[in-house]
Amino acid sequence: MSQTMSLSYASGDAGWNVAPQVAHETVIMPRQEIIIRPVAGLNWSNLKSVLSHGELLYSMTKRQLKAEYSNMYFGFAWILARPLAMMLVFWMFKQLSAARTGVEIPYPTYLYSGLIFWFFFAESVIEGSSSLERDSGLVRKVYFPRLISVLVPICANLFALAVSAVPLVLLMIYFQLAPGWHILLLPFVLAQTAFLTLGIACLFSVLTLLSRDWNRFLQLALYAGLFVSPVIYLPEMVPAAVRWLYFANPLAGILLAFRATLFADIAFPWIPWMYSVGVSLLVLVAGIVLFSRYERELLDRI
Amino acid sequence: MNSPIISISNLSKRYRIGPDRMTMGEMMRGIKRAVAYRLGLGLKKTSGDFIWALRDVSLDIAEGERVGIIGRNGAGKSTLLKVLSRVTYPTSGEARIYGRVTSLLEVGTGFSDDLTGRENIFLNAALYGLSRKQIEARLDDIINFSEIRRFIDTPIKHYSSGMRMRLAFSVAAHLDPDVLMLDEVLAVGDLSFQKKCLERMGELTSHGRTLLFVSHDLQAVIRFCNRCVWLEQGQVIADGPVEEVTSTYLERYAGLKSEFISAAPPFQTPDARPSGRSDADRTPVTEEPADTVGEQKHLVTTTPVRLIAARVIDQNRNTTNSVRVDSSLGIEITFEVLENGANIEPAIHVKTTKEMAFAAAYISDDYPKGVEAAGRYMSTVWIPPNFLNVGLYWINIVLGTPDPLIRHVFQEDVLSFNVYETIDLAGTSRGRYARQFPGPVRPLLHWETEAAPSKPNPAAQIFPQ
Repeated sequence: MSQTMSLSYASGDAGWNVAPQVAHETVIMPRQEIIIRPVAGLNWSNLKSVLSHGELLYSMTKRQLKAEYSNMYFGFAWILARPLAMMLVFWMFKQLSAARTGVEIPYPTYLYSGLIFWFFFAESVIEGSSSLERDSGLVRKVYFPRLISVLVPICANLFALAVSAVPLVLLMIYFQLAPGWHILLLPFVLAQTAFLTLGIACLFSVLTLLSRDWNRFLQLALYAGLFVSPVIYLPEMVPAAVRWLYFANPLAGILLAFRATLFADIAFPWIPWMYSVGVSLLVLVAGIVLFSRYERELLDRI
Repeated sequence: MNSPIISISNLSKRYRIGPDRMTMGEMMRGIKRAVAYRLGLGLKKTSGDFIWALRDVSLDIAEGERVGIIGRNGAGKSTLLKVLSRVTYPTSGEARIYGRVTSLLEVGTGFSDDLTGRENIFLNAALYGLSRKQIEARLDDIINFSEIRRFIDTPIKHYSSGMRMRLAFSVAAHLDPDVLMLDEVLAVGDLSFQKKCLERMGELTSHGRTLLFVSHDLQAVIRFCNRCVWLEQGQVIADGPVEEVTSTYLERYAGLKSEFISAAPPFQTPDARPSGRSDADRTPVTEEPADTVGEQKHLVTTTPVRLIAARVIDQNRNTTNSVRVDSSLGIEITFEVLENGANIEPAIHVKTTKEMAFAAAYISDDYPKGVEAAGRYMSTVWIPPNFLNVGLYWINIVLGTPDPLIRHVFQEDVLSFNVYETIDLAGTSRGRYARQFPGPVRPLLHWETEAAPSKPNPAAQIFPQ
């Protein structure tokens, strides 16, 4: 008797530290536990959740493309402007100076394929490394895997690369160049490029938050890289004695591999490519580890 | 009892204050320091100025609770929400959340001007972790709720701020989170839409959703929340039913009177400073009948005693306005007897917001017949721990003679204080009950229970069932 009385007393109204019994008719998503702890080591759950945010990656990529190319008459055609213009300039130089570049295929195709690849890489790295700062409004207000922020410019630039491939195809038809079976390796080469790009962008997005010096450094490095990498000439122009140093640049191997997949006349550079795959994977792991370790700490500085 | 949906233990967040980027010199010093620390050279690892936005915050929030977080600017309210939203990370401590969280720290976060309303719905919902399928399933509801279907395919740069807000809240209201965190977002929008938002919030919380709501608007907190956490300098200083905490908060900033000092100048005190004399013609603030207030001489001759000061003190005799339910508190009354042989006794009335709780007469062996000789005295009456209920109390002070009863001084609401308890407090008179206890007192009483003798109960024989 006394027990029932006390029970009715206790349940007289909804106590403020007792959960009301609520029946859940529909559980839309399985409950998962979120654990918030100080920064320590890697955050694997954070990394894993990138995979479940595909829609976000898509929407943000769309947003970036729209922001860049909307409200224009020519829209995406502007993507082509820079590589085409630079191709014309370099080609003109070559014609006027009668320089021997040692290229076995028509020079404009060689130039153009190198330039679109280079711009894909450089733009992705530059935009990716400043993405946290660019998305700071978002990053400070809502949780999402920050790696998405770095991935978005890479995806947007992959789209740009696809658009700029159209003139390349036209050039190849004009010059009657066909790809060989190596074209099957193109996805791997592109994936590897994306890995390398992501790794470098991750590294530099952390460094840039520490100090903007790194941003300047990166820009300079990419500017110089255009001339240091085999974009507008063949590596055979480099003296054989220092060619090993030249190929230390992982982009040399990728660029050659990229062209070899496109043009049957160019032999596939297995050894430089394998080397650059190794470097890419190393950079990717280093970049992601550093990023997921320091991203949280640096968020407060944005 | 359910396990909490949010469990926060000793959460602290420290921010470095000072320049944004270190100078080169600082960086070099920092590196040296870090190296020295690693090598164990006895230098401290950290340096510089820090501010604790949160300090050892521990809270357990059960499913379905609607918790308001109040506090002044810089108290750590938003930081707490940010940490729980994983927008920033704690310096120490831990928080666990069981379920999906949606936090609206700002209206229209992630909206992109160049995208249409529809595209922004997708972007925004994706930002909170929904898949395309889930968004498509909710799209119609979201658009209907926002009441801006006509403009849904227009880039939102052409939207008014109200329309943006509608769209943002519509998305947020349809994310079906287990925990919804809001930071001061309802302050915008027109009244009818605000009402709609509130209804939706009520709907969500009545379906067992848990709400965390940060606001400066206490009325909003009282309306939406059933529990309130008051942060001050990053620490939880009150946690309990929303009416209680908010009324304490209001009292605090409307001036909770933990101390009273008479505005009247001290009369006939030899140690009074000369500067005090210049105030002599100021009207004394006492509860004397109005006709005696004006004339000092009349006042002096009719009142044999004056209340000088009073304060609420804790066990260590520090002035306080919040006392934990399991600690004793004292009312310290300083008074001045102006005539010999007046036999003055202090007494207090203790009142709650609603009612008179009790009166406490003067019972002391020191002055069994009251204070006879003129002079200044200080009496302290102690209210034992685990006696008062939780909540706000007001104190009236009486200085009088008991027989025949003359109230020389009767001053109402001289002091006020808050009695509180925290969830983790054990061994209080609450026992294992969760609900708020009625009445002004909640004494901790002694219970005895033993197995009853098997002898037949005589009452049962007289009144058989």
